[in-house]
Amino acid sequence: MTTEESGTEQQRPNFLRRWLWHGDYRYLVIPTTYAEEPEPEGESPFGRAPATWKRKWWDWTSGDHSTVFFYIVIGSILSVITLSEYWIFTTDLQQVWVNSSLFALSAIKFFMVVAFFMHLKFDNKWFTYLFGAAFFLAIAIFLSLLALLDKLNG
Amino acid sequence: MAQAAITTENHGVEHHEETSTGLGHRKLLMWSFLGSECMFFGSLIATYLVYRNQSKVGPWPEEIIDVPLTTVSTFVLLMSSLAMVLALNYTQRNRPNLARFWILMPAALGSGFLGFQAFEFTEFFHEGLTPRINLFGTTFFVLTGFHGAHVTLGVIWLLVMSGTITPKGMGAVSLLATLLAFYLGMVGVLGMVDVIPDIEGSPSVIIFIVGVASTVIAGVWHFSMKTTMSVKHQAENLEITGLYWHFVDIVWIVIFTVVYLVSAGDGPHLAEGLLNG
Repeated sequence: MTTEESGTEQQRPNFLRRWLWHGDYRYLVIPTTYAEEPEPEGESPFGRAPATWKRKWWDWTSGDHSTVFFYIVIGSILSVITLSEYWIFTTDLQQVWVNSSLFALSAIKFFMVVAFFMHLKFDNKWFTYLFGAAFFLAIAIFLSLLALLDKLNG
Repeated sequence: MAQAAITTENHGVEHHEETSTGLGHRKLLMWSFLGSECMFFGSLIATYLVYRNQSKVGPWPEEIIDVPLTTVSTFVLLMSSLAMVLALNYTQRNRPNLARFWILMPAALGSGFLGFQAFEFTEFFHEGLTPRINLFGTTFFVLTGFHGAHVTLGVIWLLVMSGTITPKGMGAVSLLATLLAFYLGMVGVLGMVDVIPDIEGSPSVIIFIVGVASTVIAGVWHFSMKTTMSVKHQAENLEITGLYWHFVDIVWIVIFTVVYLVSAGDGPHLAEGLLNG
């Protein structure tokens, strides 16, 4: 990396280093090829859209509290997932596929509400650790009860 | 010493509450409480699943569970969560008039959800499903009943919070009038769907129309009174209320999947198979 690229002040290299140093703008300058240049911004089949949306998502989801528009987007996604659950329920797929899809969608809704509406994504990480620990304990109790009561019922 | 993210406002001067952990104590308490609630509802859901298809007599879930109706009530509860987070957002931005409006929305939608639940319980009762009739009835009513009790507590809490961000005097009077009118309309709805009997001389549809009309009039009166009062100091209280309300929502997300969508096809054919096998 050159001094200009790194953006930091460096000491002027000695003669030997300048003469032998590969890639420096000195005596043995090897022209930079296109392969070595960074990707031009927005050079993708979708133009600058992915980078723009990534930046917008960052703007929406960072900070102490997010925007009204962001919450409406999350609410709309939750509504669409609920409708999808009903649609899956009415299909004639095999029960195992229906149930696993329903549980997956339910988990997505659960974590979206916890992360965005309950602000765990924006809040202090210790709240996430606290709730996460309690949640896993709840899952452990849930599984233990399933196993225990199932055994008692024969 | 670390500073908590919470602030209190006293005579217009904002200062930070200092805590040894750097976390707001009341918020920490609420998260701990919600963690214990996870275990509580986890146990109830596990019990429901263990006794699923173990009933020896009907009514069976396939005969009585109304998934389209419950999908609508689930949507109502989800939208109440959205309204809650908007109320908090406007409170944090110190927009009192918008906050006053949005804090009432989750209370209204939560009341609507309770109306759906009252209707469903009444229908089930008419179909012969009671907590004592079979294992499905016992586990179903215990699980959804406890959830309904949590929603009821949440609605009361939200109404109290709406009072704290309402200007005193005529603002409080108009808020009370709006709430009474709204619940009059709800009484009319419950009467129309036969959850409660008609009041003699006043059919439910009349009560409903009077309730809706007076809600609109009182609501317009209430929200036409603009205020410049600061509501930012209530942000942490409202956030704690919101945490509870969203938790009620996520519990229902799981109940909707486990009890309604997955179990809706349960019937005697499955129960007999399990009992004989």
